[in-house]
Amino acid sequence: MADNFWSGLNRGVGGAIDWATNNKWDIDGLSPGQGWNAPAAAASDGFSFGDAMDAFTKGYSATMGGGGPTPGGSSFLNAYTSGKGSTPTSTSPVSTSSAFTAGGGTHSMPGIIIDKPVDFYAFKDNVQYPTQQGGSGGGSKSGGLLDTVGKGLGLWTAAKAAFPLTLCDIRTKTDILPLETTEVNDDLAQAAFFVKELRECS
Amino acid sequence: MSALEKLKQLEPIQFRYKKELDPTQPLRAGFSAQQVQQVIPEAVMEVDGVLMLDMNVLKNYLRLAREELLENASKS
Repeated sequence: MADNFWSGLNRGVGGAIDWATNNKWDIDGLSPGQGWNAPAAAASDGFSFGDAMDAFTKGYSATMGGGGPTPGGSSFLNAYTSGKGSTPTSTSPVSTSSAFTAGGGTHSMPGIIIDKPVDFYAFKDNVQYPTQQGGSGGGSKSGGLLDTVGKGLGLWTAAKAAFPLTLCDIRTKTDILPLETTEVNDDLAQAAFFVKELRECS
Repeated sequence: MSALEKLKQLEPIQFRYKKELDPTQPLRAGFSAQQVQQVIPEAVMEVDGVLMLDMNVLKNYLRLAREELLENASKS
């Protein structure tokens, strides 16, 4: 009985820790897919962009007398529909190379959102930390915001990475323009285009 | 102010992360956290001096906006 209890605890909690650390740890001794498994992320947040788009289209048609979205909006909706099935919400964004066509351009979807642990590690690996520049130790010579970003990300634990935070600080960005197009189709991009359509049609 | 009205106040942008953060620098779509903070302050968190957007809060606003749109569609 006690063995069963500890075995179950190991498989449950150990599996959860394995998942949270993107299987960098192996507490439960089981391979991914065995033991405790993370719930499907896409179905748990209660929000579906597809439903939102449908609602938006209906609302727009009702408001504007059935004229429908703008050609650009329609293009985006079509692009979204065709690309939705391949949106990588739970795979490592850096290693993902799936793409779809929208508005005449190819949209790759690697993602850089600090979303789930797997995305966090991908982002973390993709960041060239100021302290890594120039080779050995010695700390950062560049200082400033990027140093802070690197330090901040470095201090995050895997547990904190479970919070879906996206790096949106304007100081980390360049080439900023009003939204017209994107090469990355992630949750943030979909939200941004959704808002863009709302603004254009109101 | 309704979720729909608040979302309409957000200004979507296209941008690239600075090269030090994202060497490949693809063009991305999103928002400025500083601008979002003025409209939906609860959607922005500060981590070691850097502003982060909480996607859970943003998704909740999108869900509420969707409900408003559905409600508006059913009324008319």
